[in-house]
Amino acid sequence: MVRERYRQQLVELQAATVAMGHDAAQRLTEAVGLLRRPNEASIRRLMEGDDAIDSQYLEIERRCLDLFALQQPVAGDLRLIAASFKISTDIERVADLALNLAQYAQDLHVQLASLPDPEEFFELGRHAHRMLEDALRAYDLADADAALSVIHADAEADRTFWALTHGLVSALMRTCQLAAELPEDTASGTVGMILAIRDLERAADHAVNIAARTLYLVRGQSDYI
Amino acid sequence: MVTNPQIPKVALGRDKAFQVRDLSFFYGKERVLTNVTLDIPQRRITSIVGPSGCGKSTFLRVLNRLYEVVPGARAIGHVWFDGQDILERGTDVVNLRRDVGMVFQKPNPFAKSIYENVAYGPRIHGIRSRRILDGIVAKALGQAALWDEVSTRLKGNAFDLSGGQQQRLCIARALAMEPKVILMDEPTSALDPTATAKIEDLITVLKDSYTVIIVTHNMQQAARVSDLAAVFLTGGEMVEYDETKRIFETPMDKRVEDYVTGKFG
Repeated sequence: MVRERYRQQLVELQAATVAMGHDAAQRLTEAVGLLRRPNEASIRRLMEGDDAIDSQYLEIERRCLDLFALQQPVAGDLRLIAASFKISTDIERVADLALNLAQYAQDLHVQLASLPDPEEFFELGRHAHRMLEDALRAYDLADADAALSVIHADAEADRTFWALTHGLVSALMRTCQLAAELPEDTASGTVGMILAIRDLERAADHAVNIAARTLYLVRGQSDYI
Repeated sequence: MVTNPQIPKVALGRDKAFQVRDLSFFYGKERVLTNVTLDIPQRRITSIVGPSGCGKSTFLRVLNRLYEVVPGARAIGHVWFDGQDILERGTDVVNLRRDVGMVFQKPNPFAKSIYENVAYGPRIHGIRSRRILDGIVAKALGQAALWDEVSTRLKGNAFDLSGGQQQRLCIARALAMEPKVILMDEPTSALDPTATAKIEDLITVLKDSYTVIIVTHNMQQAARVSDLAAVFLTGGEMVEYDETKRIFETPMDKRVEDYVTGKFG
């Protein structure tokens, strides 16, 4: 095997991207957990941890640019670097969503009661986490079939998102019918909760993006990008 | 030979400059090309890439029958050019080489003036009129992007030019014959990056009027300048042939993937 150092750099790039992905997925799950049991210290710790994700992101971007500039990658190498470059952006967004959830954990904790079935929200969180981990594994192992499964799993996330949103809006409408005037905190609370549900659905979408880039990496296929 | 039917080997559509069918080539008993089949389209740039000894330069030399100067060299198969199989006995090689010009790895101007280098071919093909020759020389040097640099010293010695200028002079010399095809064998391997960039720009412009076939060791050069790329591997087999961007982004053959990414070669 020639170009040993270059090959090693490609392996390291992929490993760094997977590691950042695990960290972001973990943070998302922790953030969802904070809605169940908000705790000031944990919220602060999670929010402060976002800087580490940003550094990982910049580090991966730098590795990609260096490889493009110095190695003129082609074929599978080109696809790996291009995919990693894009995947790291998706991972960084997942971490931002976790930050969002943590930031409003106290309010959202109160608001969970407005959901017809709060466990459905936590199930959406678990589903998004699974999709992220599966997408990262597919990328790590260059497994196109596993990537396709992640893409198909998104339908379930979308279904739960709509069910939860619909439930909240129906509850809001019922409140409107009963009360002469809609209390302001009910309205803003509902909007906040919908945004939180939307954050989880977006996390699942990022998992789909990671899977789609993995398909491009393995097969050069751009269908789902 | 069993081949993977998914791997495109023949560019379809467009007018063809060459149709190569089952071309095999031997130096004595040694086989250098194995059943090469491909169509080379007109007025596009086709690069031939592959590791040393894969037969790519030999392939180029088949296209104007330059291999004949090597004793014991033998080509079998068919190479159609302009409605004729040029491998057949009776092919007029002088006419063939007028239509299919060649530029070599190292610039090889004649020990003559700049003017005489370019006028040489037209002269031996019987053009005597000074006025016509002046026109041919000016046009060829212009097409080779050299006119502005040499127009005031056409009588100067060609060897006084820089390496990059000498190579453009050789391209002008080929263009003076108004060929249909220009074969280039590693045309920039002896040049610095600036001279290389000028030749690459020139190649890109030439494809408006000429079919260009370029053999290169430099993968990035093939990626930069060619529309189509044919990958030859050891044993003289052409393994994959398609639009250059597909070859360099998503090669289908594992051996091509390994070669272009530098895993062997």
